[in-house]
Amino acid sequence: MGVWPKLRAGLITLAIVIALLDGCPMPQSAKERKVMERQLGPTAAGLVVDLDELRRDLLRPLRPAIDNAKLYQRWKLFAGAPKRRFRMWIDARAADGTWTTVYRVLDDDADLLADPLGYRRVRGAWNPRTGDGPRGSYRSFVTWVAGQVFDRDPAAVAVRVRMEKVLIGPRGGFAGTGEFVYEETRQRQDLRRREVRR
Amino acid sequence: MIRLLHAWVALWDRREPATAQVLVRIGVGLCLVFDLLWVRRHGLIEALWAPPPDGMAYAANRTLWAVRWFGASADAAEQMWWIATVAAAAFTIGLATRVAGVVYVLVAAQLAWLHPDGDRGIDIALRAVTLVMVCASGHARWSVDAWIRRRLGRPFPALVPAWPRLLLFGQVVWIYFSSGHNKTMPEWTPAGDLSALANVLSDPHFARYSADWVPAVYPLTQIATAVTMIFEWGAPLLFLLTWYHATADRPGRVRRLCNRLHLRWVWIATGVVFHVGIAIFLRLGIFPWGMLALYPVLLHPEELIRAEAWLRTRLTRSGTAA
Repeated sequence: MGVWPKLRAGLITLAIVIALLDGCPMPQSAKERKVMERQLGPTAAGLVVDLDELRRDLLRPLRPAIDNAKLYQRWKLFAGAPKRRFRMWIDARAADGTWTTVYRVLDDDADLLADPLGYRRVRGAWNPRTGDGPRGSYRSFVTWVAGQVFDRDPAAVAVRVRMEKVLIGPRGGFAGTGEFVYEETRQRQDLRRREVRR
Repeated sequence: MIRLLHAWVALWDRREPATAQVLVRIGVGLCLVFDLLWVRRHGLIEALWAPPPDGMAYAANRTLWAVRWFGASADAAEQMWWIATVAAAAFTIGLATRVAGVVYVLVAAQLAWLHPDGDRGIDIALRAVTLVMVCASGHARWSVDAWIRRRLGRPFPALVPAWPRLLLFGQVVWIYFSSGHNKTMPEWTPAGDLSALANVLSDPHFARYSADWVPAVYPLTQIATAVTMIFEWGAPLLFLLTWYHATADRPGRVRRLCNRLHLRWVWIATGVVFHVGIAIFLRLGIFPWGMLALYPVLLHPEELIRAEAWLRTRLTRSGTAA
């Protein structure tokens, strides 16, 4: 057997080791660390934290290459599936002050922009994390979607985006709670002013 | 130990027909192209990758080479979309496949950095797969590259290195296993009444349909939750089941039992049902199709050859009949 097959096997092994190190299920957030401490006790949790530090140190030299392709090997598909969820509402206000719901998730009577809003990359901007609030692009999303609504509804003077807390039933299905969070409003005049400034 | 090392080197030195790698190239490429065209069709290029207030690329800054080269604007987003789409299309048809793959990964990663919330797990998975495919021989058949090489009198060999397929096999197994051990919430276990899938199917932000029907089939969703956990935690067993299947003539009661029960096929079929179910009931975009595009790597090359021969016979027969 020549040198190349051995070298190739070595490189592949290295790639697998790096991937496994990157995908190691270590607690990432402070919240996860607290849970781990509660479950394992302080000594074992401290050991895990030390191992995680070592793992990070080993990966550090490779970070630029990994970041250039924006890769990781820790996969989480619906890792959490709690019963407290949200339902997004988008409302437009007319000059007389009345609010009309133009979009509400899974509502055939209020489905303006339903296709683009349901697209996974856009949903990534507006769907809140279960316990950690809205995502980084939420405010930009609200500004963008307000512009879209203003373009389509000349009578609208303001657009409001908010999340209704919903509770999933013990056997599935959901019910709205009437409680709203993460409310953001954009006025048409503000968006126009910004447009003029640019 | 030396024998083990030799076996390890020999494993990665294997050669096989390129069919699985070719199917992955085409399947993954189609998913990428479809996704990018979807973005254009709905006028979302600027929305996703232009900085605020025009779009949601709140993370645009000069540490990104894309911002230094193209700037941060709607025009820059448009240019990057074109580069990514042309690269993905070239990758799919196998035109300058390796260069196209590298260009796609680099540009797609920059788009992901511009708008991190818009970069989902499947995007990361398909970037990783594309990078492996850059080193693979997925362009050895059914590609423009293969056609050009034939015209030049330097066709690709019939057998190509198998290691990219084996590595992707490991990647698929790891994606499932990692998904399994990251599901730490009680809803995925009997302690949480195995309610996870019912909750997911009822989540208005992800469900494709109104959740009114979910309570009626709640026990089924509990079974499906348990099967999902077994499927994901059991993913590493696929290595063993595949080995047993490939060495069916060797002795061993466990091997015989696994082969008799067709456990390898059961695992693969469960995966297919899992993803088709997701495609029917949830709105996760290209996720189920992107994952299914990787499934050819789970098959033995001979199985794909037999399937191809069967398909060709059927097509020839129907052509003759017509």
